[in-house]
Amino acid sequence: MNSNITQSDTRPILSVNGLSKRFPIKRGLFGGARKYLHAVDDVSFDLGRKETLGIVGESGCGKSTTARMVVRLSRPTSGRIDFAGSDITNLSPSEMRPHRSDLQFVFQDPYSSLNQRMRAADIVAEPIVNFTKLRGSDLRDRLAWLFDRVGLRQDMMHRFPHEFSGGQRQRLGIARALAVNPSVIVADEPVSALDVSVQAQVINLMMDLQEEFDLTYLFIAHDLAVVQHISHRVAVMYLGKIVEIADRDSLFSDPQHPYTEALLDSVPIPDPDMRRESVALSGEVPSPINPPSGCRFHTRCPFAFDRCRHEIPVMRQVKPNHSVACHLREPQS
Amino acid sequence: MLASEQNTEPKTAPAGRDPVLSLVELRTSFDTFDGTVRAVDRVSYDIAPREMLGLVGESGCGKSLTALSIMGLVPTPPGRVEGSIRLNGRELVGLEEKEMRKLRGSEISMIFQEPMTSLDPVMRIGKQIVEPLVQHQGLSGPEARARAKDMLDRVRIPEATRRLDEYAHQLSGGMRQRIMIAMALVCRPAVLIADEPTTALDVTIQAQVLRLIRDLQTEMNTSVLLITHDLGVIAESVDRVIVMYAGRKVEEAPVSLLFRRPQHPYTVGLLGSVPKVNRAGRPAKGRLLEIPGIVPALNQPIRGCRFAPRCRLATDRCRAEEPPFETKAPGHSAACWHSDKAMEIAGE
Repeated sequence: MNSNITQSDTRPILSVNGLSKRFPIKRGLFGGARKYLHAVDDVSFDLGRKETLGIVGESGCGKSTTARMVVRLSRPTSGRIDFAGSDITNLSPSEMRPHRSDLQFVFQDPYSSLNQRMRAADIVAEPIVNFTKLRGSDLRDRLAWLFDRVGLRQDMMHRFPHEFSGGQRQRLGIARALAVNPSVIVADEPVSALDVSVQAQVINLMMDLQEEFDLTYLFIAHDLAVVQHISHRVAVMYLGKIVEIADRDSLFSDPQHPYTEALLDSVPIPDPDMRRESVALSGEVPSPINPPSGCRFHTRCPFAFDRCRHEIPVMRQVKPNHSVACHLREPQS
Repeated sequence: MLASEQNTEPKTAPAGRDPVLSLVELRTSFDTFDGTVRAVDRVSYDIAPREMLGLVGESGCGKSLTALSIMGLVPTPPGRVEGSIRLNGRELVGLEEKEMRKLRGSEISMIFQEPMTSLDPVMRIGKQIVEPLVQHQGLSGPEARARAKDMLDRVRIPEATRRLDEYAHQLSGGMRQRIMIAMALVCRPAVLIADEPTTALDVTIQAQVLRLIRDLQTEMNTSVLLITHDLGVIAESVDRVIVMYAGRKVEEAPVSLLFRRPQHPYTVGLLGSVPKVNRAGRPAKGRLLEIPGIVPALNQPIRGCRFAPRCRLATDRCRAEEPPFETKAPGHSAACWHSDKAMEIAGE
């Protein structure tokens, strides 16, 4: 059922092409060549209407930077972002404004992303007041409905964020994002700060809301199990690059990139009868300031050969809806 | 591999094998302006020699506080630690700080979630590892340094000699956690307490560090108390598990029994609420099991079972009378009036 969603609505609502972000690093006292941290390097993907694309990877892989660029909280160094038919890559904040209500963001940390001095009702009302003409009793009705919909009690409206539990704060963050009827919600690690039982509540809520309001999600997470649970398609990032992107079931049952394979092998399985004996991957992620030449994974890849060290592999489709950037998967010539 | 072969056999300190660490009716509470918070409430458990015991539960369940109580790291006042904690037969509750200091790092050690907060940022790595050796075992400089280097080799840190002269900020998160493990084990303590040791690490590094802890446990004959919220980590590492909820121990079992036949509705709920990576194709189910509501506040005495307000099986008896912690199957105990029906929580 999931893969049909993309097929029925062929034009992507969000399209990212060759997106890159470099952060300049402070020079030493006597100058010298300016160095850059390559956070995101030449990332491309499409997001179809009503689908969830999960982006997964380890810390420093660029997944959060990608999310922030997509909602234009951060300006891309190069590349292009098209949202609902218009190029939003270089829009100024005021030019971006008309798109804001349609493209919302949910943050990881519900503790620091909500204004501690505002009451819950005002936090959720703020975007409604900013973007719509709803006022007075209509506004109150809308708030009541939103609180109800995300599973918060009406009497919580007048409380401050510190009076809420972690899960309730994340519900508040979701209510705020939902308040202006967006079509796309970009969620950056929305459940990773929550306890498991509460995490389940929030994941279920997000999936229910998607169905009810035809939402499109870009879902960023490091937890593979969560990503598998919620996504229709999944992109795997490593050191600023997407190494593999595919329909969920294809990616999890038949991973093509050695990194994806290693990542899947590393997740502890909550079943004591399936203990593994070997460690999937040795070594650590290299620095994004001087990323390895060629394929960025070659320093840790058990299958790396000479070509991997010199030539950057390009993304190519190897199966229907399944693309990978790896020299091992290139057709033999 | 050794651990998994043995894990079907309960290691509840069988006759003739005295526990290394034994907690009896441990109570850790804090006096606050909102009343006394009973963070750990009458918790008892044993750790056998060379056993890896898992302590699992969500934030605020008291799992970390039992560890801090064992280490004598609960500030008193405002905290209060009562009951009994015995390490190799020696009572730790009420022990003078001077005496406790001799035990910490030599007979019992602890590693924490975020290694950077426990490492001294302005002291070289080598000096930090050497410190307990000089303090507790009176080794000379060169001897201690040789032991420190040997320990870095054991925790698989490449170029150990060079690393000894580096500072914590020069190392990655995974490396720092290895350094912490080296520091904790350098005096060969009887017990290592690991509090969420891999929570701040990426999955590929987590797998390496968990493997390391298991290997060293066998190599050095240490007992390990592994505290985590991650059921995957539990399933993969420990011999026996204790589940805590709101300051109480609610279930205790050998690891495979706990996952195969949980006896407490809270455990069933926890197991059902985590999504599992499924590599065969699609995930097994569409909705995750939710545990409704949130954990109760611990500053008021609670009548009956603490989980009752969130439990679908709760009856009037649960709300009135606290269920005793009793044996439900060999080596498997739980505190629930309806444990025979606990699995029904997962139904629907």
